[in-house]
Amino acid sequence: MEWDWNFVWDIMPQLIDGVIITIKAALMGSIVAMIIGLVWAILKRSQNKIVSKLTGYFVEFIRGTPLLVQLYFLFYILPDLGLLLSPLVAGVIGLGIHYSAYTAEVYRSGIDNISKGQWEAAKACNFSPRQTWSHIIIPQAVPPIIPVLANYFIAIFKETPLLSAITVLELMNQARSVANYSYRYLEPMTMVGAFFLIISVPSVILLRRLERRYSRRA
Amino acid sequence: MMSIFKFRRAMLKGAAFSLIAGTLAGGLAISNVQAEDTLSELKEQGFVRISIANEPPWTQVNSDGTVSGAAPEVARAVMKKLGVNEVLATVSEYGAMIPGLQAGRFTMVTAGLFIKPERCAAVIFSQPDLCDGESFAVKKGNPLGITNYTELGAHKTVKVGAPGGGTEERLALEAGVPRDRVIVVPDAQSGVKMLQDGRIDVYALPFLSISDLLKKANDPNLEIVAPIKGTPIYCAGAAFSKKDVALRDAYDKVLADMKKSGEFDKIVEPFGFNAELAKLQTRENLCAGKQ
Amino acid sequence: MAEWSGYLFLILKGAVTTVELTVLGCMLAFVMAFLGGLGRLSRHFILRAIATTYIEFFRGTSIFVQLFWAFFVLPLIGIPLSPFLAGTLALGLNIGAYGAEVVRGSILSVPREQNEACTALNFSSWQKMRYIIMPQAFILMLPTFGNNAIELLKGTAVVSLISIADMTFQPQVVRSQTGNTTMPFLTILVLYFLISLVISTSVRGLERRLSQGLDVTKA
Repeated sequence: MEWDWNFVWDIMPQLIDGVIITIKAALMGSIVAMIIGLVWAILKRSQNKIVSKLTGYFVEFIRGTPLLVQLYFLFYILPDLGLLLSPLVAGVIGLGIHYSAYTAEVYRSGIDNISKGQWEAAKACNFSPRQTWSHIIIPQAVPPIIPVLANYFIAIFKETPLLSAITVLELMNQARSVANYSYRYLEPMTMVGAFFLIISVPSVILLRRLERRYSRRA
Repeated sequence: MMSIFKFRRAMLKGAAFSLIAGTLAGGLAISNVQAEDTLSELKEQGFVRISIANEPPWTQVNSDGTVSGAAPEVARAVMKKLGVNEVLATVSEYGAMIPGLQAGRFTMVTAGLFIKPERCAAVIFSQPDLCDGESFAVKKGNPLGITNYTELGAHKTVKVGAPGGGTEERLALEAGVPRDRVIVVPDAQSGVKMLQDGRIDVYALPFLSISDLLKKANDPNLEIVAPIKGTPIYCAGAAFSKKDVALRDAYDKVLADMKKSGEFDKIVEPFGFNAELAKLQTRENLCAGKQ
Repeated sequence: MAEWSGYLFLILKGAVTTVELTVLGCMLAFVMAFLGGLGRLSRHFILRAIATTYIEFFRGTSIFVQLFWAFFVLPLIGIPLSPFLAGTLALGLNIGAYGAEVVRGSILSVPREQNEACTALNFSSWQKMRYIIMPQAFILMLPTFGNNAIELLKGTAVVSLISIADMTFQPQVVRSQTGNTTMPFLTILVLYFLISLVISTSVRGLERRLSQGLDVTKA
């Protein structure tokens, strides 16, 4: 089969529609992952043994099962429990929760790096746990781990094609619908790969620079 | 420390071996099918690779993993008479079938692929075997009042579900429903689920498929709209790669005999198909767009 | 209930496919990780360039995209792959690219004095790698390799989308026969988790066994 540039230009608008949804889903999924991951990290340090244990098991369960199956679960089974999420929202939540299991680990390492003295000082100053977290621990723990968190943004971005399985019309799904209609797979599928490389390779390079800058400061 | 390296070497050997074995097995299976005289090759290997969907009563996968449904049963009977005793089925999306045939992933598509002009340009078909009309599944009382594709295209918010690469997806797009409201349903059961959950308003499929689905779902809140005005009775056939004209012709001959002897009727009628409709139609008409 | 046990059998059959893909994929990934990782550390520019291209390409796109490309596009340019082979290749090459970075990082993290000691003792570079550097680096690689194996296991789920009847594919079949969605999906979630537990505990066990008598790694 010959590569046909005219066909590529014909389908370009449709693919770009898909790229926009892909980026949107990745951004929103990352925000969810960053927030929920922090929640897990805090819960895991809870004084209450049951809370910290349960959080640990839950996070491990999410890490140990495929995102695709989790997406199916959110999309097909939650409506039976009375919660109907739109495909995009289900996808964003799925991406966010799945990767929160990874970001939780990153936050944990950031928190562990804070010296015990800080906790003790907070206690000595009579800070409530809430105040300790929001004024003392998080402001110190988070900045050093920002490059690592940014890595997960790229990881999430690359996983967005899975959302096509729950009918989100992102890049992969647009390409599949083009292929279904025209019986041509060569151009649409190759363009999907090209779009991902075009976006992710520069972001990786940018990220390495970011990492170098942070590590120099440390 | 020795132990790691022995272990590593063993793993390396194992991996290399399995890769080579895998490549050979995969490569051979396909190159066999691409040979000139496909039928004698098939006879020799004893099986034929077919592509199906999982859409009863056209095609279905049973709980023990075996394949049934009207289309594969017809193909199985015909191929048996041609001396090929077994069919090996791959389940895939409708849109992936024609490219798969062109790429040599399987020899035949027996999924109830409707014989339509744009498909005749890409592959070759047997004479028709299964015919059916179009229909919609909707919520009870048809709240949006949609009964045909013209109304579907004119509606401002309706979401219609259809299998990816199927006839209904194309009908909806051609009626003017925008891409983001034509939801590609991954499989038939998901379609019913999406209709029940309100993710789609209309689920478009052939009549027999919808009837089968709704019977299984047993949901009093769903109903069928059929026939759909403006859509013809479509007929499907087995699809072959363009280079397999000889195989297709041999297939047609056996199929014609079976239609005459009544054996054909005995296969398709238990699934609910009307055998007479298929006998009245010809591939030539269908490929020319005359229904 | 009798019917359900029949379908459970179908899901277990899918689980076997998933395990096969995971094992074969891991073997390929293991080989590629060492080839890629050592390639990036090579003194030869060409080897370095090839390894870097491989790593960046496979880390730049997801398993899903690579799998679809291998499945739908390669046959069109004359390389027909069976679905299973396409799945194994995409998974192994993808995770191998991540593994390569682990190999590189672990080798670099072996203290420089070890290298210098080898030079002083007049070891060949093969001897140095084989007897001194690798035994120390390998133990550092293990935990991340374990995580990568779990990533690969999870990656196998996407092969269901190119119609391989793996563990994620079977619930759809069960669903279309029974109309029951919840049970089959819950079953496979639990099965995936069990398999991943098996991987993580066995890697931890291996790590414990190999680090006996080696204090270097504790440093």
